[in-house]
Amino acid sequence: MKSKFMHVAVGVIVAVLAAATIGSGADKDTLVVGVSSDVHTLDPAVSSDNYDWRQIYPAYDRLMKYKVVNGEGSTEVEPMAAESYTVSPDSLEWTVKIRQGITFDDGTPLDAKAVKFSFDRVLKIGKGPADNLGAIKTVDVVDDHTVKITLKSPFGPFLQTLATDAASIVNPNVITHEKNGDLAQGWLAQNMDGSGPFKMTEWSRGERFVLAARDTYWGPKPKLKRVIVRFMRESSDQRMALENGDIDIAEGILIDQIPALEKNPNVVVRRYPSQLVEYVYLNCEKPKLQNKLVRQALNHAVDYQGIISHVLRGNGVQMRGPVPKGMWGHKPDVLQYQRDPAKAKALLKQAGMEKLDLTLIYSERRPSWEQIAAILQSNFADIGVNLKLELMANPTLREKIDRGDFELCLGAWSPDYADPSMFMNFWFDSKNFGLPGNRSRYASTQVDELIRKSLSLSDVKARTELYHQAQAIIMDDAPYIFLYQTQTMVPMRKAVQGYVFNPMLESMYNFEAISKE
Amino acid sequence: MQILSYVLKRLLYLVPVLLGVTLLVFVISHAIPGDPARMMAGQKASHEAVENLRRSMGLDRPLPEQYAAYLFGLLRGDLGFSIRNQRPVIEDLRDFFPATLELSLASMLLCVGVGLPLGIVSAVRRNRPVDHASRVFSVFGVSMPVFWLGLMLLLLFYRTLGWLPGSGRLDIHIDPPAQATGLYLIDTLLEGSLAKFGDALLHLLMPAFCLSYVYLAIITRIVRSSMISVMGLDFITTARANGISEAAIVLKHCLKNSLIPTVTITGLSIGELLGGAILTETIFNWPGMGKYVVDSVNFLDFPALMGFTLVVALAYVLINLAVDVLYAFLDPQVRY
Repeated sequence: MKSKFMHVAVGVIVAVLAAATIGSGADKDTLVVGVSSDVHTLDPAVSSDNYDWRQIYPAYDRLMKYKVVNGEGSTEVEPMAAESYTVSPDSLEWTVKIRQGITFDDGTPLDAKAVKFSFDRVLKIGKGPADNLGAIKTVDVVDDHTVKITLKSPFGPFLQTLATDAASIVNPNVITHEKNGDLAQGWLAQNMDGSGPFKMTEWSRGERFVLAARDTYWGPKPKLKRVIVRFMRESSDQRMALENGDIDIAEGILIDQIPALEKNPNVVVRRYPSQLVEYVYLNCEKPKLQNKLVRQALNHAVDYQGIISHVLRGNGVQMRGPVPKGMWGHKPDVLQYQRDPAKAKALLKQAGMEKLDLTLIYSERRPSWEQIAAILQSNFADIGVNLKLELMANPTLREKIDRGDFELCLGAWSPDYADPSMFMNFWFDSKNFGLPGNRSRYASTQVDELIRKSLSLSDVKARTELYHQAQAIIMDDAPYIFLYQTQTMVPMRKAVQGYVFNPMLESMYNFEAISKE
Repeated sequence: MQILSYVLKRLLYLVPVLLGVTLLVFVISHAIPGDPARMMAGQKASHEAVENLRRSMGLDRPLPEQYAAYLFGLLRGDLGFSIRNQRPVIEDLRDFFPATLELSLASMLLCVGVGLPLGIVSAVRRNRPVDHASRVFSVFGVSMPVFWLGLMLLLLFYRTLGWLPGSGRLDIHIDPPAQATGLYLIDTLLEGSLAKFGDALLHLLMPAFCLSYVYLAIITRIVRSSMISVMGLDFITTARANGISEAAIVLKHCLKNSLIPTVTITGLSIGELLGGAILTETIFNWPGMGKYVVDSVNFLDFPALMGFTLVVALAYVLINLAVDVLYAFLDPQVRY
């Protein structure tokens, strides 16, 4: 009897395991992307996180979109749901004609009312994304397909902000899901109601997020039928899955695993110049760092090339000025600090600070920081500066940056929209002290005037000139140590075609144009 | 009846324990420097946007008021609102807890199913090759870092041999079963899909083994040593002299008497496993409480942390109560 039972049990187990699918392999209609972070909220009026935007962005239309030039991503924008636009001579009133025939899933048209509802909603909710649309004073419906947007003051990068995630156009009918006056935030945190090329079909928390191509999409039809975003925190896990062909793109593979990965003939690691920069804030309010000679000395102490070759394994370039290469407003001839310990020592001597004790704070948010901190400590020791390193939790670090409670701090920054103001005005305007941008607490009346004036103009040439003047002053004042501009690496299976990287859309994908061979 | 009143008394103790836990977590999470409103708003958000958010989240109210509001909500079964996920904590727990529970139960099954027989065999065949092998196996289990073991298992069985699937609870291309219990092994069967059940089972093997190995090793060693000490007692010699078979002596007399320490350690282990097998969940990309709580800490999401701690504390207390009750059944000398 017992033996009969055992036979049946073994038979059932074998049958079950045989029925199970191991490595069922991806089909050509489905793209699987391995990512390191789960999604938190799907509401474009709430999320300030690229990892959320990765899912939100393809599910909504916006008035403007980033151009693709010769198969490459660009920072310029062109109409998307907008058909055309005009601007008043004082650059305050923007009249936008909206393309006809775009509808949401329930048949509601994407029209002037929908645009007004979406923008008003973002501004009324007033969370992070509201800052991207912060230039807007009012949105008025002129007719069904025309909207007039009035700005508080002229704002050069206004069109660029219309291509950000914050400017996603939401079906106004979501208001039926409103609870306690939350403008449907509770519902939109977990659901989507847009008109973009993809729509959400499943979100299993901590596991995967599935998007399906929208059959009724008004624009070019997506080549993929389904996109599965698979949450995989571990770099080695992503690497194994990519090599085994279980995922098609892996975005969280650590730099030290890239050389080994590149030996796999089925995998290609694509590299793109990114707008993500890493730098050190020198708190200009701290007595030891108030003298610009000290800040210049610290800038001269750093072994920039050593950091790039050792920490980034060559996948980056030293920054030249605050505006990165690839962004208009970059000044290719501005002063670039180089390692020169003798000069650094002389500057310290001139400042009367030959022996100096400083503290650098950083967190584990980026894997590179631990190594950079150690290199900086050694570099500073060469010029007689004793650098104490303090590692702390990221929320604590942010709190300290916001309060200015630090001497030196490691940081990273990437722009939300394609405009040098994302660097120049955020980092240097003395009204912007703290975490939102001016983390060095740098104040210069001259620089304030130049960058504020530039922001109010729409003529790119005039704006560039003003930003260039400001950059020359800033580099001499040295409120930051500009380390490097990174290179984004996207490892993927060779079968993946049509991927276009856009430096404005880090960790986001043009799913609508991607296909698999 | 006596045992019933004991259980009721223990359940009443739960109230001050859980209150203490909420107070402790509340105080600690607010003592950490950091601003949840800023974390939520994003680092580039203006101070005005952060202030708006702080007001709307009720974080501008005095701390005692916030704590009182939390407790009041708790009485109504409301565990608060997750700052990071922007939804009620109870919904988060409903999504993440079953994954951890399934993994923990599978691990315990392995611990007891393998650890117990291995301990018995080791004790009975003391100082023979099988005992040496079992001891080596146990030493490995206690000393091997989970992180390393998990990676090696994946490298060998998934990447190199291709015998077992990689990380996660199901194959990437398989749609999860409709959530009835949240335990995939049960939900897939309820859905009537044998293929999904098999896939879920295969996905469970490596993480469950990885998680159980340490406890399995401990249980093996404890069973072995307590069996050996019982086997040397006079009543066993008497039983042998009475001609009772060796199997009956081992399984009936020795095992029953050596089970108490095993039950204790098993109970404690379940509590620990439920508390979040953070490393195992990270390596095997298991969407459970361990990952959830790490993310919550990084985001200063204290309602989520409090909800998690409450659930774990509750599970711990209840499991320990069950263990205490079990003592009375295993050992007639134990009375409440």
